[in-house]
Amino acid sequence: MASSAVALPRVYEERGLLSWLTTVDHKRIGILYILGAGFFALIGGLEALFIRTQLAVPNNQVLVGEAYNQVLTMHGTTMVFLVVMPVLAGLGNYVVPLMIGARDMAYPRLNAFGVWMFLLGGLFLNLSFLLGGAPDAGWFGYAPLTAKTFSKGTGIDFWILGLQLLGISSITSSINFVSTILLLRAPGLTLNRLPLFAWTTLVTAFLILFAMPSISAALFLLFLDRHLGTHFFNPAAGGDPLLWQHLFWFFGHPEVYIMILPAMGIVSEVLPVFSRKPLFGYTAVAYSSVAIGFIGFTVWAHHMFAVGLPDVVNAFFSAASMLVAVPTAIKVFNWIATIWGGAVRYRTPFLFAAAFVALFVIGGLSGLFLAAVPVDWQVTDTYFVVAHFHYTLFGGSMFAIVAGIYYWFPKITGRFLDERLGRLHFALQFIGFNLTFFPMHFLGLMGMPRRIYTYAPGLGWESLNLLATIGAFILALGFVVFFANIARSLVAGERAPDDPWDGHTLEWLTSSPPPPYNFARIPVVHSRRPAWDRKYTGNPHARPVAEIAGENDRQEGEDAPEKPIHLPAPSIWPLVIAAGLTVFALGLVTHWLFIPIGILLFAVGLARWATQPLFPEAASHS
Amino acid sequence: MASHHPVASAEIAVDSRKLGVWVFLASEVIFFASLIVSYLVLHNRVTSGPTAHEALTLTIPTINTMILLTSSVAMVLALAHLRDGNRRASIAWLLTTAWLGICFLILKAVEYSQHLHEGLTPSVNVFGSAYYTVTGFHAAHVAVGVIWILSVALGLRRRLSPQNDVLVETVGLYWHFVDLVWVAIFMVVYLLR
Repeated sequence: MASSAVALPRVYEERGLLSWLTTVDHKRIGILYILGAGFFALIGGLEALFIRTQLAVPNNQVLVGEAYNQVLTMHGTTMVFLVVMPVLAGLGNYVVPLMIGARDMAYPRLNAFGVWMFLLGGLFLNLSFLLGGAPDAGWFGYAPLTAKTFSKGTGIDFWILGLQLLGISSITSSINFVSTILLLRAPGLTLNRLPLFAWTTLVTAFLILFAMPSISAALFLLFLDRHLGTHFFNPAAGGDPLLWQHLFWFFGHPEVYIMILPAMGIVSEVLPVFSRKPLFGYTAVAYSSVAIGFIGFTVWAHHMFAVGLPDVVNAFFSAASMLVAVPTAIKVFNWIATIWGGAVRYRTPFLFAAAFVALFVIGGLSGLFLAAVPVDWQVTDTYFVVAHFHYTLFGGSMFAIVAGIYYWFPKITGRFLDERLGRLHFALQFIGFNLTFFPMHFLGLMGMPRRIYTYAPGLGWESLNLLATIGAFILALGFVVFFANIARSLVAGERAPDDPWDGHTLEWLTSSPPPPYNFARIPVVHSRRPAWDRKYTGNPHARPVAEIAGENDRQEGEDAPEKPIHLPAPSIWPLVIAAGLTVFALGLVTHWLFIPIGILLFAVGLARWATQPLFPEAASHS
Repeated sequence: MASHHPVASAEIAVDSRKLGVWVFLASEVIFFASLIVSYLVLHNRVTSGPTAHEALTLTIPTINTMILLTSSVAMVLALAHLRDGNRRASIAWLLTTAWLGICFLILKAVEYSQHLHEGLTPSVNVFGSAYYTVTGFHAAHVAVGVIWILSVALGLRRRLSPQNDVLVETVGLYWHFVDLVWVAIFMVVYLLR
């Protein structure tokens, strides 16, 4: 690209610990999100292995009673809030600004605050293991089990405040995604040309913004019940445990779409590139994401079919839940049609993305079963439900996330992940996953309840449970190979060019890894596949002609002189504010002395943030 | 200071900070909706102690409604004066807004102390729980608004200019929102008692 005319900006120091603690670069923040999620995935994965080891044989004694409940609760909470959500936020942070031709997110410092709040909130939650026991009432925290009467320890308080801190992180990052995607798109990049991963990230941001406050309010009420003696969830004094379930699931169900929609976005990016075709039915795929987001707010009570709601209410939520199948199936058919007739390259990202489609269909079908009230009554709170949501969240979200990591790793690091290790990883993860979770369908139909820490012999559950445990260890081995592959490829991986997959979207137009300012010149977009416009000419409906496009494709606007580029200045204050909130929360659970320290850190951080200019160079020019 | 971010896309032209506050307030709607719905579900299930009808009077909340609505007018004037290039008048109106907010909080504290005196506490029954929670979270939002207004009017006053009115406009959006929430609370909690 003709970049000689552009004055490149002053780049801030990029080495040393301090540069990471003060970074406001969306790419480094994205990396921090992904690394943090990887760390918590190790913890959450170990917890899963403990659970499966305990359940491998009847009457096992590895992890019993309250310890089992703690590990079960933390496994769920960790995987939802500390792994899937942040790794998607991390990929979104890294990739979306590049995809839309922006130099950074709309609020770089708020972005830094979001990642620190996630990391500190995650540590805070896990600190509970060391300070008097982890939360043990399940990731859904049903009242009144979580009331002071039944959960005396501080575990539930760590859970309440930890989720509040993580909620603040999610809300700030969502505000940032909305503003970034709506305001900072490159010239010509209309919403109708927006890459699908950006589309789904946008819809997800709105879901977080409208779902998270509901659980936030519920958690406040629970905290007041526990510490101020209020009666929101105390039935003896007129309170209502079902109020908790409504508030929780009004968040909790959109939450599953929060975890699946960006994953669908990743798959919608990967499948066309590796099929060497445009995405089939772009408009339908984009709008079906919006439809899933809308319907997602009208289905929450299908988690409550067994609590005795009136039949007409159950019928409404049953019908609404089944309705989700329509936009979801639209996506599935479009993905299949995208692969159909394509010149498919079976590289690792494609394998994971294609497996996503298959596994997610299985999870979707068992979801349809559960949406039918009589079937739900039969299998509610059994392993059938466990099988269902692991097919959507692991077979779905996690497979897509891994596909995304193999796909964007060359962009992020400038090196490929090893292809042979990648195939081994895929084989282990695919076999291990299905071995772990497919038998759970049968276990559930045979009546094995979820959340129990052991079971008696002779119920016919032994061999399937053992099979699931073997599968879990194969799955874990797959992740060992994955992490080994990452470690090895970071040092000795094959060098990747700027555009290793012959990609469609703007991130492939800049170097691998991209410079701090992303693009020397902001590209002008003329179609849904701007990178192909630069590489190929010819009839867009025919096979691409491998011929470099002429100057005619770099048109008006692009040769106009650009304004000087200013990079936002690094700042430590986002970290200080996040630390202040965390210390404050710690004070509420442990010693009161932390409370004033937390408030002080927060106040100082906020005041310094407000008075520190974001672009000191630009300020000194004017 | 240079413009915060150049608007790269022609479709939507709005200052990014303004959009951010709008989006945040949209999220806050769900937060207060959750609290108000909880109040509506629970406030009639009193098993012992004072009910809403017995405990609540209209005098102080009505005065408080007047105060907050007046403060919104002051906030509008602060923005209008800044846009006219009259920074000193703008700051004076901002301080008026903050002062009215403080008056609201003082009256709210008086009302709370009357309730406590009459035996209505957060733990006496579900109505007390829900009442203090809904109005308490609103009052906390008013307090945050007062601090925000004061930091714009005093701490950042040198940055205010007709070109850089977004600092006042964003705090104004938040303030009007907190006002609107009070109007909803006034109707649901006090008028429907």
